[in-house]
Amino acid sequence: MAGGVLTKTGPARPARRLAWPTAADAVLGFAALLALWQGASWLAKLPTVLFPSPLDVASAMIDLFQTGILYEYVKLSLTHYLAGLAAGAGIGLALGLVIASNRRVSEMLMPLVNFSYAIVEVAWIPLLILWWGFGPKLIVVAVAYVVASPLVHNIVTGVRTIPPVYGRAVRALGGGEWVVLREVTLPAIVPALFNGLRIGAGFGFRALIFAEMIAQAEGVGFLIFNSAASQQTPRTIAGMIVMGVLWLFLDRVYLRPLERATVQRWGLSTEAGAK
Amino acid sequence: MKAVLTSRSAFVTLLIALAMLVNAGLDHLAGDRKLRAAGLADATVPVSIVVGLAVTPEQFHMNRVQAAGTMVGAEGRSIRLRNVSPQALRDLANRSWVAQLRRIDS
Repeated sequence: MAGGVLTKTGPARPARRLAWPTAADAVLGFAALLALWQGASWLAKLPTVLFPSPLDVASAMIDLFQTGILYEYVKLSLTHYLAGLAAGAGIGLALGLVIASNRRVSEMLMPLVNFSYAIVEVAWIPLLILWWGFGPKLIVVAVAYVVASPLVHNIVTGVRTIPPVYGRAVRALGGGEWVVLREVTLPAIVPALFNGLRIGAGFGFRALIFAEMIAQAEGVGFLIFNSAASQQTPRTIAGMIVMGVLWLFLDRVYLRPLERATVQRWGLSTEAGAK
Repeated sequence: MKAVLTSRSAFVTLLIALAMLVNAGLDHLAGDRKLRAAGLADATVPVSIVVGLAVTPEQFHMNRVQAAGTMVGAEGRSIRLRNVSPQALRDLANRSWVAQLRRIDS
């Protein structure tokens, strides 16, 4: 307060970058890829079934839209994905909390979780077909399986990093285990939870494509697989682009803001690191 | 709570929900027109119909049409169906790729 002048102290904030140059850069990257692709298809002069041009793919996309297939398949795929994501998040959260709550339970179950983490969802699909048959249930189970694994890991790690003194303080003030869970554990694991959810959501999206390709007669994954089987390569690529755009949309509109609101707020990562 | 409701994610979700609702509403209105034109607007018992598609039928369209009733024939973009329940008839009429419906005597 010397001289009555207040000076701002503390770490300097990084200069905030405007949003538009980032978006423009991304568009530029896609435009360059499209130009290269179109140029290559003109030069190569290969049949459409082997190497379709971006114009062929755009035409296939319009056709898929006009026939009503694209809208229905996107709706179906997103429904399966969201159901799997919700189920996986619920199972992962519950299992993570159970494992982290007791060292003995943790020693019993963590090797099992690690074991299942190593078995990719594709390996499970033949068994899942036997148990649930072809159809939406199988897809939801496959997505839930891959979403749950990273969540369990993150939640267990999140719970273990909580200083025990917080729990002890709540108990000393008369709070029971439920109060510790509600007031200490759950708020403390929020960053780990959303970080795991974002990782799991990415894995889940890949699982959705695999499961729809193998086990479903409908959905964008099926569109990719079925079009390739019937040599409609532009449709296959159109399906791949739709999947990519859907993921970018989900990540940009939901997952990244969610992570920014939690992980970055808690100071566990920076905006630059999250990109 | 306010931050969540005013966030970009919530706004986009609302926009998508609204677009889907408008789309469903327009499909329903178009379905009404198709049913009225075919004299099927007040069908209360299963009927036999010819479904005229607006597009060249693919597996996707055939699956949905076959789910509506018993398929008894197809020619070009026309598919003959028997035993189509009123609910299935309404679902079919709401599809944007169904151009017209025609009642046939079974």
